[in-house]
Amino acid sequence: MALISMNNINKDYTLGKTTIHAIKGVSFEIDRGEFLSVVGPSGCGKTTLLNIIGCIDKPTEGTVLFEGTDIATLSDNMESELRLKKIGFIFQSFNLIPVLNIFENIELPLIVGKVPKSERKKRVAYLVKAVGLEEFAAHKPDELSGGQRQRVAIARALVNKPDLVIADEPTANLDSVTGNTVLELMEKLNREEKVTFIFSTHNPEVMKYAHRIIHLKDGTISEVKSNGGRP
Amino acid sequence: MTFLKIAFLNMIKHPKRSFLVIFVVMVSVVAMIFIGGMFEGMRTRFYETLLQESGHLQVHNVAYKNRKEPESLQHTLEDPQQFTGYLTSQVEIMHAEAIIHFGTKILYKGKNLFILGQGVHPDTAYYGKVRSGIVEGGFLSSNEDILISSRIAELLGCSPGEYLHLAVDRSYGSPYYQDYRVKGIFKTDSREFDDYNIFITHADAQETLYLPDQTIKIRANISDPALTEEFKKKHQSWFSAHHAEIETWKDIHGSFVVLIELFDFFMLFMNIFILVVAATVITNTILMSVFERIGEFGTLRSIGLKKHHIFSMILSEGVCQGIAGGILGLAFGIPLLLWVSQTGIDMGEAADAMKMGSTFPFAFSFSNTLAAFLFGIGVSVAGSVYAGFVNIRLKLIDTLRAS
Ligand SMILES: Nc1ncnc2c1ncn2[C@@H]1O[C@H](COP(=O)(O)OP(=O)(O)O)[C@@H](O)[C@H]1O
Ligand SMILES: [Mg+2]
Repeated sequence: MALISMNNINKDYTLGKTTIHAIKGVSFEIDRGEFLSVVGPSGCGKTTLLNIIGCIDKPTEGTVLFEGTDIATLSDNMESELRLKKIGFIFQSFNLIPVLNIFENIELPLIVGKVPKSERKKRVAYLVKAVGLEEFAAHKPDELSGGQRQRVAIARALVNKPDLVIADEPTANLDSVTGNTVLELMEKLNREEKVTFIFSTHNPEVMKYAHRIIHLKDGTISEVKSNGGRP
Repeated sequence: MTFLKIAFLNMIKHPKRSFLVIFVVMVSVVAMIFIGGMFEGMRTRFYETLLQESGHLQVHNVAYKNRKEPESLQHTLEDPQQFTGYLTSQVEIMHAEAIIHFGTKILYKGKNLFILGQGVHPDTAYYGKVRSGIVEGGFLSSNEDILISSRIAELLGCSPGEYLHLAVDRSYGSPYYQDYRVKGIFKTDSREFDDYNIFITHADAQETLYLPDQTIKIRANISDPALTEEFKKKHQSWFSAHHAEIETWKDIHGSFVVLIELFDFFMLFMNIFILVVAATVITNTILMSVFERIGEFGTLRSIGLKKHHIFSMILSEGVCQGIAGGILGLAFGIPLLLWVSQTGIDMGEAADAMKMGSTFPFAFSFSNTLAAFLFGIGVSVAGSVYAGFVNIRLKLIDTLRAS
C-alpha cells in the first residue's frame, strides 16, 4: 500500500466573487522511502498541495489516504496526533521556537509525545549530531545562520521518526551553496534513516537528489519524471 | 512543564508586554486594596467610634421620646441598677452602664458657654476617644472632676487643677450651681464633638441635677451587633413592664446605617469600574501579545501540539502574569494601606459633618485584600482564556500563513 494516496484533489480559494482553482484534479501516490520533489513556478499550487498532504489544509474535493486512512475522517486531536507521530514539517522560514534553544526545539515534539526523558536525550543527541550541530545545542535559534536553523528544523521534523517529512521550499531562504547542503542532508537522512520525503523547491540541482519529480503548472500535474540514475 | 517553561521564557523574552500586563494587574489590585481599605475604615470607624459612643443598644423611659427638649430631664429611668443588672445577666450583653446627658452653662472668670454635659462612670466603656485623647491631666476619677476639651480650655483660659462652675436647671426646675475642678483636657479628631461636650461623673450628674437613683439612658454593648434586633424583640416585654424601651443602633443611627449601606453600594460600583477598565486593558494587552505570536502557535500546532496545549500555554502566561501582578499589588497595596490607616487622610471639616471625624479613616481587611488579589489574577486569567479561545478558533492554515 502506498504511504500517501491522493485522489482527484481540488482546492478552491474564494476571494470575494472570484474563485481561484489552486489545485485541479491532482492524483498521485507517495511510496515509502521515496525522496519526492514537487517543482513549478510560483503560484502553481505547491504550498497548497503540501499543506493538504500534511493535514494543515483541507481539499475542496478529493480524498487523501494516509496509510489507507482518509484524513478527512480524523478528529482535531487525531489530526494533531498524526502530525505529531507520522508527519514532520520543514518550513521555508524554519519556524523554530525563538525562546527555546536548539536542543529544546528538537526535543519539543518528543515532550508532546510523552517520550521518557532518557530516551529523549538520546534521540535528540543523535539528531543534533546527524545534522552536524553538536556545538550549537545550547544556542538559541537567532544565534544561528539560516542553513543551521534549517538543519535544526530538519532534526525537529525527524525526531519522532515520522513516516513522512514534508518540506515546503526548505531552501528558498538560503543561498544556493547552503541550499545544496540542506538538500544533501535530507537526501542522506532519506537514504540512511529510510525517511520518506516530499519537498518543493526551486533549486535547479534537485535532479541530482530526487527519485521522482512532479511538475506542477496552474494547479495540475504537467509532468512526472523518474530519476533512475540517482545514486 | 515545558509549556509552562515556554510561557515563562516568552514572558522574559518580551518584558515590555509582560510588564504591561503585570503592571495593570498590580495597579488594579492596589486600587482595590486602597478603596477597600477606605470603605473598611469607614465601616470600622462607624462600628467602633460611633457605636462606641452610642453603644449597640440604649434603654430609656417609654415616654423619653415625648420630652420637650433634647436635654430635658423628664422621663428618667428609675433605679438604673435594675436595668444594668438585668442586661448584664444576659449572656449576649458584654457591658451596660448608665449615662446622663444634660444641658449646662460653664462659667469661668466672667466667661460663659452653653454646652452639653455628659455624666459617665469613671470607668466608662464609652467615649474611648476622650480617654485616649487626654492631652493634659487625667480622666475622671473622683467626685467634682470635670473634663473639658482643649478648645474650650483655650476659649476660657483655664488649665487642669483650676475650678469652674456649672450652672444647671435641676430636675424639679430650679437653677443650681456647682464647682468642678478641671481634671483633664482632651482633644479628639472631631472639632464638633470637642466644641460641645464636657464630662463629669455619673454620680455628680445625679447629685447636681437632683436625679436621686435615676438616670437618663442605659447603654449596652452586645457580643455581636448583628444580634441587637433579635435581642430587642426577645426582651421587649420585660422592659415594657418596667416602663422602659430598647433602641437599637439601627434605630439610633438610622441615617448612618443607610449611609454605610450606600458605601457598600458605592464600593461595588467602584470595583466594577476598576474591573471594566482593568479587564479591557489586560485583555487587549494579552490579545496583542498572543496575536504577535500567532505564527509561532501555528508552528507548534503543525508539529503536533493539540489545541488544549496551545490554550494552556496562553493560560499559563496569564496565570503567571496575574500572580506576579497580584503579588506586586499586595507588596505595594498593603504597606500603602497600613501607612494611610495609621493617620487616615485629612479631609477637613466636610468629613466632620458626617460625625466620623475630619480624617478619612482606612483599615486593613484580610477579606478585601484577598478579594483584590484574586480579582487581579482572575481578570488576567479571564483575559488569557479569551485570547486562548480566539487563538484556537483560528484555522491552522491561517495561523501558519501569519508567520
Ligand atoms: N489563502 C489563499 N487565499 C486565496 N488564494 C490563495 C491562498 N493561498 C494560495 N492562494 C492562491 O492559490 C494559488 C497557489 O498558491 P500556492 O499554493 O501558495 O503556490 P506556490 O506555493 O506554488 O507558490 C496561487 O494562485 C495563490 O494566489
Ligand atoms: Mg509556496
